[in-house]
Parts: sequence; C-alpha cells; structure tokens
Amino acid sequence: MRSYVAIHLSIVLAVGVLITGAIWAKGSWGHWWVWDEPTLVSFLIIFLLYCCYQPLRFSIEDPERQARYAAVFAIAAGAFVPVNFIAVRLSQSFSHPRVLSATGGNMPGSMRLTFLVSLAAVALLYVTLWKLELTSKHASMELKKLRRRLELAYEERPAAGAPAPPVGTVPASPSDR
Amino acid sequence: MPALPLHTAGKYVAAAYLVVFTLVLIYVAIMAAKISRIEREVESINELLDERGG
Repeated sequence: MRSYVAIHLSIVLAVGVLITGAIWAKGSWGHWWVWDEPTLVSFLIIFLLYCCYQPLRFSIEDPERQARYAAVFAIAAGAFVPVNFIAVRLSQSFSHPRVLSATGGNMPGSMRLTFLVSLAAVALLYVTLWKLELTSKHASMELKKLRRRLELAYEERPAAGAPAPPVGTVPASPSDR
Repeated sequence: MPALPLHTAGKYVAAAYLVVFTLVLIYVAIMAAKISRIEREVESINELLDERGG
C-alpha cells in the first residue's frame, strides 16, 4: 500500500515536472518539447513506465500476487531513474550547465540557497501528502472491514425485538440510504 | 546572470508556479472529499450501532 500511494503521488508530481519543464524549455530554448533531447525523452519513458503501475496492479485479482508483481514492476522501473540521471549528465545539446557537482557546480550562492530551500519544501510536501493519503486509504480499508463484520454480526445475532437486516443492507454511507 | 531577463522570464515563472499550485490544490481537494466521505461512513456506522444498542 505504501508503494502504491508513493507511486500515485509521484505520478501527480511528475505531471507537474513535465508541464513546468515544458514551460522552462519554451522560455530557454524556444520549444515546448524536443524529441531528440535525451533528458526529456528519458524522463517521459520513466513517467509512462510508472503510469503502467496502477493498471498492472489492478489487473491482478489475487492480493498476494498483486503485491508481488507490483513490487517487482516498481523495482524494475526504479532502475530507469539512474539512467535518467546519467542521461542528463551526458547530454551535450541544449542542456543548462551542470549546477550540482562534487566541486561546487555552476550555481551562484543565492540561487543555491533558494534551490535547497525549495527542494526541502517539496520533499516535506511529498511526505505530508503521502502520509495523508496513506492514512485515508487505511481508514477506508478498516471501515470496509468493520462494515463487513457488522453485517455478519447482524446476520448471526439480531437485536432483541428487531428483525435482522439481510446481508448487504447495512448502509455504506448516508448517500447509499 | 540569469538565463532569461526578468521581464521575459516573469510570465514563464508565473505559469510554472500556477501549474504546481493548481496540481497541489486539485490533489488536496480530492483528498479532502475522500476524507469527508470516510467521516460520513463512520457517522452512519455509529448511528446504526446506536439504533441497535438502543
């Protein structure tokens, strides 16, 4: 469940990367997208790979197989992340100067501080949203289990003086009534 | 020296911020809707238990 939520959130943020990256490319290069640029295409490949994760996961019914296959797929797709990083480093055309390196890079001090603060802020936002969605998913699953147990309890032991409701009639939510 | 002068880059930076803000806002709105649905479900189960208990 944790990897499912993490990948779901990553896809949402990756959409942001693709759109803001295209805006940056238009401003800097004069083009929204350049198909022969390895930095862009390698990121798009990783994005599309992770987009396949959820359809793959939900196409398998057995929960154990679903978890195992999804984990294998996530790890295999994760191998492409360093490839993307290396592609950016190796790319000669169009790319901006290397801004982070062991020798200090080409980023001015004030810009570096802004960049690092922004990086920390986005990382914190990611963790916060991840925890929020994970908590929501867990609560939803626990509610489903609770409702199922209630249905079974009503079926086995009806309350005194009241007929037991048949299975499936316990309202799921006010909108279902 | 920035890659683009400010009067040229400003609209692109504004557009990028707008995109990120909109994405996060949509995500948070969807999560808020899910959480309020969970709250309603908890409420309905509580009401049901009260009815049965009473």
